[in-house]
Amino acid sequence: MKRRINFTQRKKIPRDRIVLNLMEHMGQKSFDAGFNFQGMGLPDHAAVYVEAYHKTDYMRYPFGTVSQIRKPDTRMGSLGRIENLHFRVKIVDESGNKGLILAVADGIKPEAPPQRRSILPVDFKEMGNQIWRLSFDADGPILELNSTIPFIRDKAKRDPRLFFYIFPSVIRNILIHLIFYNEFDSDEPEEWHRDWLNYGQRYAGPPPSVLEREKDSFDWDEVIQWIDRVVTEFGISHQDEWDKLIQLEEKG
Amino acid sequence: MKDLLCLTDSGRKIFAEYLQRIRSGGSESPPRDELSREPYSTAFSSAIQVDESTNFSSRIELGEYLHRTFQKSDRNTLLSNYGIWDWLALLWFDNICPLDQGIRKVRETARYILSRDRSDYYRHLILGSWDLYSLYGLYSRLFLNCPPYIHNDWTEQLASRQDIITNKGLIEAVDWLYWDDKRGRPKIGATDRKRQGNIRRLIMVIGQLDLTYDLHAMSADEILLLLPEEFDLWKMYPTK
Repeated sequence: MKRRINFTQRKKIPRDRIVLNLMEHMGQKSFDAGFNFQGMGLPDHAAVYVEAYHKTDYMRYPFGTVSQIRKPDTRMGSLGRIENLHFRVKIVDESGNKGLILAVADGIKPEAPPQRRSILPVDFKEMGNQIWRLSFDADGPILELNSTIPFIRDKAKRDPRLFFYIFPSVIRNILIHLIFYNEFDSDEPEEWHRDWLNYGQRYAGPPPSVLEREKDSFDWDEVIQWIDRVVTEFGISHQDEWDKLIQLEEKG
Repeated sequence: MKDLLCLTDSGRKIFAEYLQRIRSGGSESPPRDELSREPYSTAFSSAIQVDESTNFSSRIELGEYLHRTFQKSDRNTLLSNYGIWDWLALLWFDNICPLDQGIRKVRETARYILSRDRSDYYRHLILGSWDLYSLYGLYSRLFLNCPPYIHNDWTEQLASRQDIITNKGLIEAVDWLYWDDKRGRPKIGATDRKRQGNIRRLIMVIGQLDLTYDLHAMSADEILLLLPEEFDLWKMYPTK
């Protein structure tokens, strides 16, 4: 068995004393961290840093001190390889003129954000001369794309023209279907109803308070305006893809 | 000028097969046109155009060109689309694998087709040039002061070590120690294993200091002050 001698007296922070979760909000990735340094004999004034790294990417986040943890802005936008990041937690004594490492935990893989479930499954099938159509089953809408179009799978992911030709209409159709044809029930909304209304809310704020058509206070115009707003804001939030589309169209 | 494309998996496969044929003595031209069409490549962005006819005199020139070209692009998007680096390698194949008396000397595949493995991703001649230049600018010169087809020992020794290559202060300190400003090249003997304070010794010493000191928070000057006597010769070398 190999013997390891720790000349530096540097402590190892047990992994179970650190909680590190990746988060995602509006496409912006960040992380949240929690620590338990109690009983480790670390001085209160020692600084706490979290370092995110992978390959040539590196970023350092100051989390205050052992006795006063303060969460900094943990957005990771300037890092290049977010998917594979590892983290390191360092406790540093900065009381002298050089920072001395008192304790460290390295190679931490963060907990992924809760598994994201697609609210719009995609199916590829032959469908004559249509590019796309929507079908609905008990679990909600399914986007069907015509599998006879060459490279449709790749185009669906990357082609900004297809993106803007399809998705604004898809969103509008689903919301109209949900409210006008699917008998939305605010007391017991189906899961996919809730998902899609939350999705719309991300872009256009809360939907109108009454979405049941049979109620007197149902306001048709208000509902249509909200759906319009969702579709408009969806387009605005994908400005990069729109710019690509314009450039492609300019080139013919 | 050409719109930037992204080589697909099938395009990468054909490119790899081409490399293999050249290694086996083939003399055909790189399949640029064939692999610049679907299904071998897809559009990445027409907002980014690259000059296919450029002859780069060095990797630093290549890195600087790409840094300018990609200035408005999101780093994460560039790095997660492996295919753009391979398409660029194909586009500039004459730069990174030049014909010499009718023969191309094809090196390991990772220099032309980006490896997803962290143990050799940095060997890609195109991505490596951009990555190091965009991170360190002037201080990438020890790595990139060589023809576009060369992967030098500085890159192999330093870029392969994550603790080192991510430390800006340390990279600046390495430049201070080993770059010869007067001659515009690395100092003679800096990679010689027999010389005191050579680059390999520095890597060992940094590995020890890193256990004690918070090196990532230190400036180049502070790191230089920590180094033992054997590096004094390099510190004092009157070239700056």
